[in-house]
Amino acid sequence: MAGSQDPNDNPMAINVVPLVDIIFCLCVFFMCSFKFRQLEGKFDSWLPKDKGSEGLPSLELISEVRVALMWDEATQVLTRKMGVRSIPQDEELQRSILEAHQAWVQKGKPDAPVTIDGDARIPWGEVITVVNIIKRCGIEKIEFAMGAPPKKPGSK
Amino acid sequence: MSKHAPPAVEESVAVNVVPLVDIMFLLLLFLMVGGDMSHRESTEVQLPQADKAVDVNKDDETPYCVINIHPVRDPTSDADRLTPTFRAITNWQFAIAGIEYPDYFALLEQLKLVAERKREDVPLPGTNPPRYLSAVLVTIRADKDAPYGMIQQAMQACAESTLYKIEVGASKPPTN
Repeated sequence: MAGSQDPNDNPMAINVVPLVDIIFCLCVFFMCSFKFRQLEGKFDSWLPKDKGSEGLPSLELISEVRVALMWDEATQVLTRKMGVRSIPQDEELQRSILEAHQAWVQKGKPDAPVTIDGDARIPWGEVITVVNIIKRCGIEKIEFAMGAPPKKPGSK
Repeated sequence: MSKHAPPAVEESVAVNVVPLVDIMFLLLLFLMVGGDMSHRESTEVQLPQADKAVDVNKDDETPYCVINIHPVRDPTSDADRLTPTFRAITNWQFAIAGIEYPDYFALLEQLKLVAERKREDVPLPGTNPPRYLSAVLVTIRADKDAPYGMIQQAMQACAESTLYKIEVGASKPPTN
C-alpha cells in the first residue's frame, strides 16, 4: 500500500498534511461517538388468542405453578414466594419450580404453566430473571398474571 | 589544519507519512463500519440480562413495531437507578420510533394504528362477524429498572389493539 521511498519515482510531491489533519478529525469524531452494539436477545411472549384479562376464571382446579413477586416500597426489597415459602436464591427457586412442575407432570398435566404474579412496582429486570430461571428448567409455558387495563378517566 | 573543508552533510528530515495515512484510513474505516450511527427504532435502554434469551432473527416480511420503555429523566449514576423517585412509574414513558407516549391511552391509540398495518389472513375461530387479529410483531424493550406495571400496560394495550405476537427484549451476557 505504501508508496516508494525513492523521490525520483514521483517528482511531484503532494502535500498530505491537510489530509492527515482531516483524517485525524474524522477519527476523533468517530472514536468519541463510537458505541459497541449490545448483543440483544428476546423471549417470545405471545398473548393468548382465546382468553384475556377480562372474564372470570373457570371453576376447574387451577393447575399451575405460581411464583409471586412482592415489593416492599419502604425498603425497596423484592420477595419471591412460592406458596408461603420465601425463596431468595436463584438456584433454590429453580429447584422449587422444577419440583412443582414435575408434580403436575406426574398428575398428567405436562402443560401446566408457570405463572408469574408480580407487583406492578417491581423492576422489570427481576421479572426477566424469573423468566430466565423458568426457561432454564425447560418449561416453555409461562404466563403473566395481570389485572384489568387502566380505565380512561371519566369512563364507566 | 586540513586543506580541504569537510563535505557539507545534507540531512533529510522529511517524515514519511504514507504508512501513517494508511493506518489512519484503516482506523477510520473500522470506526465507520463498526459504529452504530444509524437512527434505529430502539432507544438507549439497559436491557435486563438473560442467558436463555434467543437470538433476534427478524424475518423481513413480517411487519414489526418496537415499544421502548425508558425513563423520562436519565439516571445521573448507577446509585440513582436504585432511588424510589427514579423507579416511580411517573418517571417512565413509552416510545415508538423515537416518538414518546406518556401514558397507556396515548400508547393504545398508536398501537391501534400499528395493528392495522397487516391483519391475519384467517379469522379468529368462532367469531361472527369474523374478527381478524393483527399480524404485526411487537417487541417490548424495557429498561431493567422499569416498573413491571409499565410492561403490563404495554401488554394490555397490545391485547386491546388485537396485537398478540409479542416478544420481550433482553440482553445476552457476553460469551467468553
